[in-house]
Amino acid sequence: MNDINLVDYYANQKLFFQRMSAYSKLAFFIMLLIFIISSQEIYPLLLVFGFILLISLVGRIPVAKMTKWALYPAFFASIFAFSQFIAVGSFPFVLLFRAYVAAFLTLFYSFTTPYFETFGIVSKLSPFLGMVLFFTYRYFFVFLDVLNKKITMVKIRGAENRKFYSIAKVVGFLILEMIDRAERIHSVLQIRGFKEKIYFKSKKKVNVADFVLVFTGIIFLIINFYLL
Amino acid sequence: MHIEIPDGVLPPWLWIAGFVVVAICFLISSHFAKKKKEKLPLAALLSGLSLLVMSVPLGLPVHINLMVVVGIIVGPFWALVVSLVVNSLLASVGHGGVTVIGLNTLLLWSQAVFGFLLFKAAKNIIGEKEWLRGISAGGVAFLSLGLSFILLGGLVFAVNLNPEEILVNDHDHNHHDHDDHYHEDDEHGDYHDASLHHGEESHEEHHHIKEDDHHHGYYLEEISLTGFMAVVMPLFLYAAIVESIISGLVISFLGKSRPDLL
Repeated sequence: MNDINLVDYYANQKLFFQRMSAYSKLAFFIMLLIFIISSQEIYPLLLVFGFILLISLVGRIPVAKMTKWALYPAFFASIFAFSQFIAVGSFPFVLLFRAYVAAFLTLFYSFTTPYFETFGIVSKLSPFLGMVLFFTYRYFFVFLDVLNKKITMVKIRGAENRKFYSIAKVVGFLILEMIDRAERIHSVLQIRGFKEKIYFKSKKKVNVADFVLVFTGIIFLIINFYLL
Repeated sequence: MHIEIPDGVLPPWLWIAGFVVVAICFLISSHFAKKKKEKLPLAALLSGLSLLVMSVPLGLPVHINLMVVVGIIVGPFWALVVSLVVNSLLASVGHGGVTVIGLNTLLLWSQAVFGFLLFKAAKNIIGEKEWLRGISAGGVAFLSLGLSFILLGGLVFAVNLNPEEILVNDHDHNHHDHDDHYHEDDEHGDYHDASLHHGEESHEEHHHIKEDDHHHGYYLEEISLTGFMAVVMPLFLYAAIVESIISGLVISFLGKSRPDLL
């Protein structure tokens, strides 16, 4: 439940990768993702996994959490692989590891890039989508706070015996309370001159480290297309 | 229910097609959604709610997503925005792959659209009977999830299709038509050998492409739909029953407190 909360916390730290431009990290992410999803053998995947692990350790990113969280999509991939194992009789291990490394890379990007910086890039493509993302991001944390209070309240009242009814009531109350709050926030924003568009300007400057990161991504692509 | 298939499993043509379809639908939906800007906070808060419930597993590796509730409350246009936002944010924490955001968005959106349409139809039939509202919403949720599950089956089946092979087959077929034509003219000339040779060449070419495909086959080229369904069906039924009960109760609760929302 608090995954996004934790990711947001780590992404806003003032460490090496967190200080880099979101553009260079996004370019690096896309290039490595292409490398991963087009890898047929286990060795290229081990190479890219080792590399991300190394830079994560150097960049003091919580590797233990990344390792653990990346198992989640690998677990779902295993359900999928299992269903094929029943039918075909062979277990696609490369596929599982590919899913794991891709999730590891995604987490590397998320742990080093604050959400609002990514939303800033999205809003250049679609201001409307960027605005909804900003609002969702804002409400999510308010939501977490309200939900924690509601769950405590329900537990104190001993609602464990009527589980479905309690969940539905908590969700219903949450929606009602949040609608009031959301309408109030929207009205306040409109009074302040909000024109259904959010502008974002990053203070981060592109430096040598950004170029090195993008260059590394290009090298991986070259390895992928010409050497493997 | 959405695809928990991570990156690197599905063939690129399929997930790229997913992104293209979502982009087109998003352009159309955002045009209509912008006309109802007052729904922005509501859509954003429902995205937050959906994100929350999708992060809570129900014991087994399944979760609810409340997209039917979202569809009923904000309508189909805003529901697409909500499902796109939710899938993008979930992918950022490794829940579902980045490349399948498009396909997942379509699946979640389908639940919202089916939910919206079926609930509207049910409302016309049952009228304003309060006690029936929750039951009908639960039924609608189950039906919508079922329809969305059929779509998921279709997607899995689509993995078995190889567009390149289909195009080559088509091309090959055209050649055969052409050959048949030459066959008819056989008595009047010596096209026969040439046409046969051409047919063989085409067959070899086809075979070569298949081999080449196999050599570069980065993804699962064939997925057993039966195997997939056998594993996923029990999980789906469990999640669908839980989600239908909760959706029915939530709609029933909202109907009593804020009927204007429905």
